[in-house]
Amino acid sequence: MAAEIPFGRLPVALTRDDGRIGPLLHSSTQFYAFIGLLVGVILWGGVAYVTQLVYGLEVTGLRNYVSWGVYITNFVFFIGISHAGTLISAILRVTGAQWRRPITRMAEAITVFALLVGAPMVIVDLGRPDRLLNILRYGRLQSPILWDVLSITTYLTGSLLYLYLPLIPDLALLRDRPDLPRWRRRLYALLSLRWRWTPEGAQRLERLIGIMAVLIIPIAVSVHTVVSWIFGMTLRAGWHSTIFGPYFVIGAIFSGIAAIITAMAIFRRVYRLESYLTPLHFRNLGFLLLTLDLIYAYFTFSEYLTVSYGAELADARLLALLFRGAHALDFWGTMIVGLLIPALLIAIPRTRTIAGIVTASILVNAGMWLKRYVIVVPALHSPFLPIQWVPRGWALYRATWVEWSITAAAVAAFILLYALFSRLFPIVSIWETETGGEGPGRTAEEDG
Amino acid sequence: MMRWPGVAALVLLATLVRPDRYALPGIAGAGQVAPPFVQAASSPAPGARQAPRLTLAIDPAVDGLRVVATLREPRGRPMAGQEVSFARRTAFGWVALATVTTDATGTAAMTIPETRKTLQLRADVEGTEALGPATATARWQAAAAPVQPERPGAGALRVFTDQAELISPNPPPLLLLFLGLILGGVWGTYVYVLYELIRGGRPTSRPPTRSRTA
Repeated sequence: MAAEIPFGRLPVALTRDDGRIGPLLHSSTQFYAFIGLLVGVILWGGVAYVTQLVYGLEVTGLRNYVSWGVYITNFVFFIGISHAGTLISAILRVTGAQWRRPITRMAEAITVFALLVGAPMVIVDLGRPDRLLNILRYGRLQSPILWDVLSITTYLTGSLLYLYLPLIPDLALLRDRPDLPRWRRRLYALLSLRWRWTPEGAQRLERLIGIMAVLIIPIAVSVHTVVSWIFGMTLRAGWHSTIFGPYFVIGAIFSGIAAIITAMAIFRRVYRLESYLTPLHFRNLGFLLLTLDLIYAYFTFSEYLTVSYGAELADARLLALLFRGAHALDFWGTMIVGLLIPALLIAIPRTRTIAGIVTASILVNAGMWLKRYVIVVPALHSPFLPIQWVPRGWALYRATWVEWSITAAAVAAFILLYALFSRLFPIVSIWETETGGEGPGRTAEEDG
Repeated sequence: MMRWPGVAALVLLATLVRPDRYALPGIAGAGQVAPPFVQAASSPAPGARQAPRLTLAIDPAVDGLRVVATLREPRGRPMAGQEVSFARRTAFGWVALATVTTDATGTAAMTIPETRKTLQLRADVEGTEALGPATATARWQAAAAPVQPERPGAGALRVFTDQAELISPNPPPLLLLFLGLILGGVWGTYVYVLYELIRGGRPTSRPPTRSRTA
């Protein structure tokens, strides 16, 4: 594990055509149009949320029996995506994987923005956001809900710090560039904390990045474990499972890698980063995705086989709902779209191209969202005591336009934050790629 | 602006106007479809009609607890064919269990699993044209478990609660210690990293060594 800051090479001269710095210097009309579109979607989501605040959760599909729906699905999905960054970046950093250099920054940024968008989903699900204060007033340390609040807060703080530390050398490079606006240079100077390319400063930074890389791995694992315990510690068919901790963590890393691949493909094309994000990166991450796909499939098989073999009444009812009932399309969609097709796309050499791997990663993200929905909603549709004495619409969950609008706004907010970050800071780490020999001078042999 | 009373009034109105919405064939089971409690609450007040005699008893059975409700007219004759709704008290209010029709002896019975040390149940009858509604409650307490001999020193860490489980009014000291150590260690490291970072940026650092500049 090392940040490996060599002296005598940096700071480097960067031309305006360099994909690492180019997006910081000029923005096209299309970019502003795209930002306008995202803001429009977010505003529409705001209208939906105000509607929910005024009329209450009645405007959603949530009722007494199915009290968690799309919002909690989004929460688990975004927290899962957040593992992309920090965990994968930290693991690659700790194990000294050299090919990680161009992708660490975009991975770490995913973590922060996914947490910033995903965590508030719980507040949206509350219906009454003022009741958030009840966590402070009546919170019980014995409850996994409070563990979740503590672990996500800790993870977000750590991820911000872990994103910030490797950003400092790049900020130090940028603060002296005359072709940047003055306010930006001031911002970079402020954030770089007067850090300089000195042996002392570099060694200190290297040590701090190392500490955070080691620390953030167990924190990231704990976060999704605790999220899984919210389900696993509930006495409900489909949730009360001992393997939910590792099952959720594997699922999170799985969807996280898919998110990185998708982000890499977009940035590679839009910012012309072909020299830095090579086929090697897609292939390596593709193999990681395939490995996680198989492990996740194994967990899924083990979970459902164990439950179906026992055939407890409530479990059997839930499995019937999933395998051939009202949620069969969701369940089999997850299995085929989210697991089988991506595995085949990466496993078959003919389709193991950048396009194939990116397609697989998009399918994995869609499938993993659906998988979270399959975990949350069908279990609520099959409680131990039969659903009775309620209107039909209260027993069957259907998300309304309010929930879909807020979901779209959350996705748009995530993309907006990511896009703005990539215009303000180098999305590919300059100092890491420079010291690792990445870039236009890289040979085909090195790319594999 | 919140409009909770308005929304509640609309829901109540919809409930009264369309009672058929409560029929849920296929979900509750054919024998369990019943009107909601709100209708029972809207029945005439006791006293307007004479109330039947409803008793509720809970007895241990082989497969759980046998809950027996007996319904009789005021003169003592059994009332057959009446629907008795059973509900159970939880931390979150009354949860409906099932609706059972009384037999020729005026008895409606069901069996529930024995999962708690104490249990409070309620039986409700809507009443007929001649007789008003009736309610009966019963409480059941499990026999005290034999006291297990405790290992010496086992209670040393139980400062706030006698319960070792996480289901307790106050956090167990071991949990507090565990969380304190973990969170304290992590947040302490964050503070250390920030401190080192800020300390490193002081002007005492050496001037930059540039060998390749723009």
